[in-house]
Amino acid sequence: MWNVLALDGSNWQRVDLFEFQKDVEGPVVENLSKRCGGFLKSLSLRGCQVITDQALQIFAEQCRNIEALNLNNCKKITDLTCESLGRHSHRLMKLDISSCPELTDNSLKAISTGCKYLEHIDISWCVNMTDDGVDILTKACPRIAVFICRGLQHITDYGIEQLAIHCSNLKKLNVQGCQNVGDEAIAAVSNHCRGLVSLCLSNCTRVTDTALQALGTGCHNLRTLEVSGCTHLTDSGFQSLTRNCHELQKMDLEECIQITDATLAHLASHCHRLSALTLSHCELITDEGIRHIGSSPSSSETLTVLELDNCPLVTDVGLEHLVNCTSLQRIELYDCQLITRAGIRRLRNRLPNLRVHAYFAPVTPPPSVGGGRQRYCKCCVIL
Amino acid sequence: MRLYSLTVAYKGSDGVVKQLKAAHELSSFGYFQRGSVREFMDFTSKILIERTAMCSRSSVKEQEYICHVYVRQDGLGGVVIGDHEYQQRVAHTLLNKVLDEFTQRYSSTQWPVLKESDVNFPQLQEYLQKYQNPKEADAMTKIQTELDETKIILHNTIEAVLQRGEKLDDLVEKSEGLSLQSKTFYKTAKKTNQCCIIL
Amino acid sequence: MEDSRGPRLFADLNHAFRKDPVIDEYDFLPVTEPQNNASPLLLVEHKLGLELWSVRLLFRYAYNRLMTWRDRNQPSSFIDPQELTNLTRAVLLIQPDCYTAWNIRKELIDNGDLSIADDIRLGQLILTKFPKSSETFIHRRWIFQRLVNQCLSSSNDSTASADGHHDNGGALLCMDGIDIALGPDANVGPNVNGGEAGRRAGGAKVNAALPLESSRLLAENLHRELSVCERAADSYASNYYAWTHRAWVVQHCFNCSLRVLLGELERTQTWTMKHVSDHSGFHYRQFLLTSLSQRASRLHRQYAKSLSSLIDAEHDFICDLINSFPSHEALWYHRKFVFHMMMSSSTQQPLAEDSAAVLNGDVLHGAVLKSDGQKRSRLEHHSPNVLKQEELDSVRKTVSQTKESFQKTLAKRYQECSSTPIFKITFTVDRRCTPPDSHYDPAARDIVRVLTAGSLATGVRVYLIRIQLLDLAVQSGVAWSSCHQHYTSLHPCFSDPASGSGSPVWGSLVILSPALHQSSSMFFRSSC
Repeated sequence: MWNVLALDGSNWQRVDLFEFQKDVEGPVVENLSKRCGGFLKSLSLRGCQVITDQALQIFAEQCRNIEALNLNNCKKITDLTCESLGRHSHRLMKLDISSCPELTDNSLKAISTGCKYLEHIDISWCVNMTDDGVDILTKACPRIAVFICRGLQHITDYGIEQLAIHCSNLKKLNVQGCQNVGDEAIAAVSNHCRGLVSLCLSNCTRVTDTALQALGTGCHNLRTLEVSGCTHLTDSGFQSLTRNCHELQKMDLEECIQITDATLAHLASHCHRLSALTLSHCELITDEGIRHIGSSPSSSETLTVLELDNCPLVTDVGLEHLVNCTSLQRIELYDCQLITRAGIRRLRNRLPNLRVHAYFAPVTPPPSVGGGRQRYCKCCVIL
Repeated sequence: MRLYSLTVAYKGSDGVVKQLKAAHELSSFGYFQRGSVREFMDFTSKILIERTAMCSRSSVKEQEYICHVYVRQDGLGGVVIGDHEYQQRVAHTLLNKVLDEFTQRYSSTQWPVLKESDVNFPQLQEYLQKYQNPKEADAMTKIQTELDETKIILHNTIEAVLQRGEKLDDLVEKSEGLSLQSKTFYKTAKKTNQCCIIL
Repeated sequence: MEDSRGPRLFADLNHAFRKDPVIDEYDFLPVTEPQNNASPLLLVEHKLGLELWSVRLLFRYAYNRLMTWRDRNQPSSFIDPQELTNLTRAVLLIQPDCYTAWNIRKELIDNGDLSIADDIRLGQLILTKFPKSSETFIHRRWIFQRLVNQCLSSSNDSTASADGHHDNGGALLCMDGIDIALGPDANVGPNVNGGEAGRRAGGAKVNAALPLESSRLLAENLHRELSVCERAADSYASNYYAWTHRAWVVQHCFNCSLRVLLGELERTQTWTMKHVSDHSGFHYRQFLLTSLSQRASRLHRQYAKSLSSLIDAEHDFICDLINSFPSHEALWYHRKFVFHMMMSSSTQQPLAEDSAAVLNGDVLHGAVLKSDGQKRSRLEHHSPNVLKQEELDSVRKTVSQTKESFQKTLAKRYQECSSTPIFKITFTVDRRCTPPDSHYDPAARDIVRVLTAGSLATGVRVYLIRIQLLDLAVQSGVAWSSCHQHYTSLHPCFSDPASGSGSPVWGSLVILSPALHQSSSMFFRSSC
């Protein structure tokens, strides 16, 4: 009975071979494609490093109704794969080709010719891709709402401007580590993509307060903003941002080394839905800033995660200000060298469900793992 | 064949020992261990001079190290710590030489009041370096032959030198010269099966 | 519940290596619990210190993640290659004998996800903390073998026509080429002559044909590898792992190039002088001398150096050491080896001599040299009997003059040995062939016990043993008993070693085991 079901391709609409990544080879994919044919809607080959163009060409021909395809880390595939996708996979909506270093702008061009309904694309770490490819793709695929291109040095302000102009539905943009993306790109996004919900600019080191001002003007629905490592940002930028973007829920400000308690005061008074805040390595933050966070309306209701690791000025007094954050589930305190065991104990007495992460041993030490020991310690086997 | 430390100390008539100058060559130890090793060598040198009678010599083995001690009639004492390959005869000849030169530099009346920080005796470090070289050491033994090796008292451990009822662990625990880190170092090193301590 | 500090410590470690990619030493600091809420990793002057309490947490985290990923029986989450590289690094820094981690790194190298240079650097770092880590050395052999193969495979075609005059074919030519490319920083003896220059030109041509990247890596690392071994040998007494590895590098990567052999002979002189009680260094010199003896004619052709002059110099060296540093057993053993070598290289046919002849299978080749020696050394002037007399006189002098009792004992023992026939038997026990559950040491003891008792068939579970006895080599799979019969017929006194009558003198029984857990050499004898 199971055998019959298994052989019937119609039962195979979603296939994720990710768990078997180490063993999946070309023939597996070829057979699967033949069996499932038009029924297959979603396939993940993430991490299947041995898969080649040949297998995927057969797949594209056989499974023309594919809607979501994940090829992350299929390092061997080349533009040929994308050419057959463009030729056959007209229903493709979601495509992840991140970490496929062989792919070039030709892939984007090929996809743009066939996949008009594309909504979600991830081209992170495809190091050969440039503005030209993005330009062609976004012109042809106006439905794109999620665009992820982490770590691409050839993507500049121009590419992102084209994206903003052509895809005004953009909800989520991630340009982490694209060092040539700066304020102009963000200005264009703010102008055209008013519905933007999530933006990651981490390690885009050229970004300044101008970008934050632009976001404040255009993207009032912003919920997630990640700007870790954007060292030019200051309190005044965050002031303009928070005045207008009241929906912010998740903020990653790691290593925004210029910000002070003032930014925290702005956040506390304007952004009442804040649930996760990262302030790691913001070395100017003091107990006073923590007091603002602890006394804001969001603190007791929504704030669940607070990361304060490597904030050297924060002391036990700062922790006292957090006792009203009843929703807080996790706090990071690594390397806050002024924090003591006693301070942590006091906080935990008030918030017993809070997970406090510090270098001190957790209050309830995890039971030591027995049995497995001999596996890693030769000499103990003998004794 | 290595020398690790060379120490000159003064043992007063009341038996109290004061280190006058010490030189170390610890490059063969790990970077992070050097501080503790140095403290331990000074510590060991001190307790050995304390427990060696005036006008006597001894060589004390401790694991792969050997400490050669000589305390003169006038209370001036020296300790050289080397590995087990280093020749006893050379070590004791070196001690003679160093103590003689120290006496030339500072007279015996000065010893009780000298402070270690004021002592200027760069020869100590020079000798420690020079006699690392086996060839130099060899040359010296050929020149100086008056040493009577039969009078050197041999001990197999430091514990053997200690007085009745004394324990090395207690001395380590009580010592002011050893930092907390060195004491922990001593305790962990004592557990022989090191890899199991870590995991 | 998992300790949340694991991932953080792991991140801290990775951060340290990002911040300082040339960390050259690390250690565990004796801090058993966190003193304050500060990172337990300390980075000063390229040295990394980890507080003891964190080592365990870090290891547990990295090891569990790695092993869960590796376990093919359960679905595991994707770990990208960079993360795997970092995880294996964390595990190996703490437990370098975890071969699974090394194997993962091998795969990463094969996939091009890990640079060989980085991997070599990690091994080097680990050896500063664990100078005796056998898995680290084994992994390094794999890397170097790989580099050598890469160099060879792409240059073999181009050199096939040119290697006629070399005894070992393309491989040899190629390796000499690499050796020469290293010329400037190589430790070369003073005897580089015109013939050398000729080789240099030929070698450079070959070298140009090698794939650039791997030959550059190989060139950069081979000589450094010799220093790595020296440092490891320095930091742990009797570090046979390090010396065996060094011998392997000389054999397999330098292909016993004469230039390297001579350079090493000179270079290790200082080391042995500073470690007179450590037999491991002398053992390496014995390897060098034996290798040189096997290439004596080339040595003469290319360096105008006779083997006997080298042996002569070694004899002077060791006698000097014995006089300067009395009472060290290792020195006397080395003297015995050198003396055997002297005897056999001065004797055309050791078996034909009287009962005082010295038999040594390893160094028979040395005898060939005599015919074309022009600059005759002392050794070549004298017959074995004269040499032997000289040696005995010199030892007798030591016995009568020395004041140290142990030195006297050693000298007497040496005297007795060198006045009676010596058989040197070398067993090479292949690791793959020892039963996996038994440590080598008991096996070695077994062999010794069994040999002395004369019952060769029982109790030994060694499946492949190569015996070199005189010029007799009995290869793979031959049963113990048949070997026994073989040399029983050769020399009747082997027939029953246990019975007093006609039993041989087991002069020196050296048991060597490259790349094994324990390498021990033993020496014992009984009266004739």
